[in-house]
Amino acid sequence: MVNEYIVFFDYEYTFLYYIFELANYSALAFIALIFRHYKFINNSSFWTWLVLMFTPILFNYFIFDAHLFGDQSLYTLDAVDQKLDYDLPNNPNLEKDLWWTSTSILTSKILSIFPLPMLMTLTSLAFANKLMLFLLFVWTSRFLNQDRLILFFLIPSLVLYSSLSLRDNIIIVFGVAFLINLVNRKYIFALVFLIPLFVLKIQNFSFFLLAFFGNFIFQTHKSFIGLILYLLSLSLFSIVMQEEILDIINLYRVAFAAEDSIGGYADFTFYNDTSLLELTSLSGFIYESLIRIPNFLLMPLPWNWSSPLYPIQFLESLLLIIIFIRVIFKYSLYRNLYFYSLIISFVAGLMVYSVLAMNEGTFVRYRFSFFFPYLIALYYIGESALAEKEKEAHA
Amino acid sequence: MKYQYNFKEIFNNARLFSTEYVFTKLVLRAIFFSFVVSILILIFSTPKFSISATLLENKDQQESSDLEGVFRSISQKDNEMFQKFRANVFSTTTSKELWKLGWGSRLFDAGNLYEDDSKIPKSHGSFNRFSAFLLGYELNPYYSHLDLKEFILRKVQIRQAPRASDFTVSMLTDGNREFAKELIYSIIITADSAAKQKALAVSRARIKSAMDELQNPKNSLVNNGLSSILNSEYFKVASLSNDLPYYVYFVDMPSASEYPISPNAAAVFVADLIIFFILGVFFSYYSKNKEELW
Repeated sequence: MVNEYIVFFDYEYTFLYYIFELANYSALAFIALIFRHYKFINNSSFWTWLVLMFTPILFNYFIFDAHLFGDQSLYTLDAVDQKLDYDLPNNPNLEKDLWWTSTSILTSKILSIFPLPMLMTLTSLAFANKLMLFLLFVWTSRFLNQDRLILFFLIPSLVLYSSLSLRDNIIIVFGVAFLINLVNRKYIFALVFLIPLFVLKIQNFSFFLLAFFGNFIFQTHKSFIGLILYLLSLSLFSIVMQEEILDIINLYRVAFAAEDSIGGYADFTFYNDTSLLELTSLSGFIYESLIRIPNFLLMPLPWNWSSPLYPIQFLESLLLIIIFIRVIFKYSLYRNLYFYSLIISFVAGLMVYSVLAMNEGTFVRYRFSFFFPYLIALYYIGESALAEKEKEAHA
Repeated sequence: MKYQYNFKEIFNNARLFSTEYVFTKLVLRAIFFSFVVSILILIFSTPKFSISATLLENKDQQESSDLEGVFRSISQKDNEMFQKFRANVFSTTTSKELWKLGWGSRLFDAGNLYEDDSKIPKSHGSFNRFSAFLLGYELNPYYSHLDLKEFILRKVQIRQAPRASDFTVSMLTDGNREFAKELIYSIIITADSAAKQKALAVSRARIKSAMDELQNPKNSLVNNGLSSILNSEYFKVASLSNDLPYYVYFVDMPSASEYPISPNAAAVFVADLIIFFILGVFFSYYSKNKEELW
């Protein structure tokens, strides 16, 4: 790779930016062509992916200011450091022993696995994200109808997050891969995708872990008794650990409220009574979350719209909820035991996220990276059950 | 869709793909064309050299000899000196000082046509003139220190790598490298001095008010406190009253890169090669499988 021998220089919005990123696009398009040639993807998927793979060039600079998503430079610089094999100046031991505990280093390490020909601008890692999503598509298309599956990959938020050099796309891809492997009872593979989420997004990790325990330990997908035991254990655990759970939720609740306030953390704790935000009992938490779930699911609501992006995000969230409910009822998932451990962990996640949600921009991102894997997993459960039924009918 | 992993078939297919779509005259022509395009891009690009200085925060100045100073230094953010220095580089005070030093005429009147620095005519774009006409406001006919500030904001970059203690002040130049080195040096020294002057003014004001308070007899506890403030402020004035940089140390004086940073010739050649090679393969593939692809 060329960039192994050069020091990173940000080309920003120049003619050369397009040249370098077109090279990355070409490499991805070539991979899509190979997959088409081997018939891993069909024609409509091939042409759609050729368009989707181009979007990273459009989002940074062309549609948004690249510095709007400031984390992009952090991941890019870390990825460049790794390509150049630089040590971390302040933490010489971090690289060797504990690099995986750093969100930015782990993100850039994962994105660096993908062989991009150019790592020259802030947009370059976005192509690694796109390639990762493409591979997820190819993998999931083994189990699902491609023509319908591709529609999920056209959801605007997914197109946006996979077109930026951010970690959200990794969280989504790992989330989908974890849930599908879990449903397929491939627990080792499921764990492989779950463990990195502990560093990348601990909230999602916790809720996915609930689903993992349900399927792996209580075998909720097989027996109704297992499901009852699982629910009882969860309830018992929540009651016994009530204080600890509420402490963690309260800590994050105050932190997100402070982050959203004008003066930041210091001013918020100085000028505001944080105890007003604190939840004191499990019943209080359940009551508060039930009230706030609709707001969390539909945010940004029309009276909070402050940018042209907000109406799109609102309509998208509305559409996703409709699809989610449609998938549940179309495939009668409530009759399928696989559905329950997933939906329990999903509802637990929704409840926690809904009481934490303070800032629209942040939580719309969080919601999507949490919601999308469940949507695909439920669709997968439905399609698998349908295929099974058809097989039985034919037999 | 279920895959059949027949590796022999995959290998044969790859060989066929290569002979049919990769090793073709069209791809060869595309590769040749990529070299031509790369050469043209490089001919029409202006080489830009990086002028950069490496600096280190002067952390000694965050501490003072007394216990209060030690506690203060602990509670201060790690990179406070860096942040203060950075803010001063992009401040109006610094650009005003630089303007006084003659950088305005050196930048905006390269031919030295105007004797008075404040009378260097400034041209405005037709759109700016048109909108000024429509909205009814006056455009400044001459360059001022605000244009110099704008120039610094656009051209000068201050970067600190994540978790690093040193940082660089840099700019790109396609012109006189010695001139750019001098400019970077002046910006650093002036910004540091501007920050120093502000700190000096604050310390002197504190000394004056502490002295005034000490004129009136108070209890020994208050007097001791005031004396302690006086000591620490005198210590600060002593460390500020010299020509050395206060907020930062020079690790490396401004220097120019030997080779241009932009365009990166090797990267341009490789990028074009990839683009045209893949474009060639695509055309080969498309022309032979047109029916199948739609």
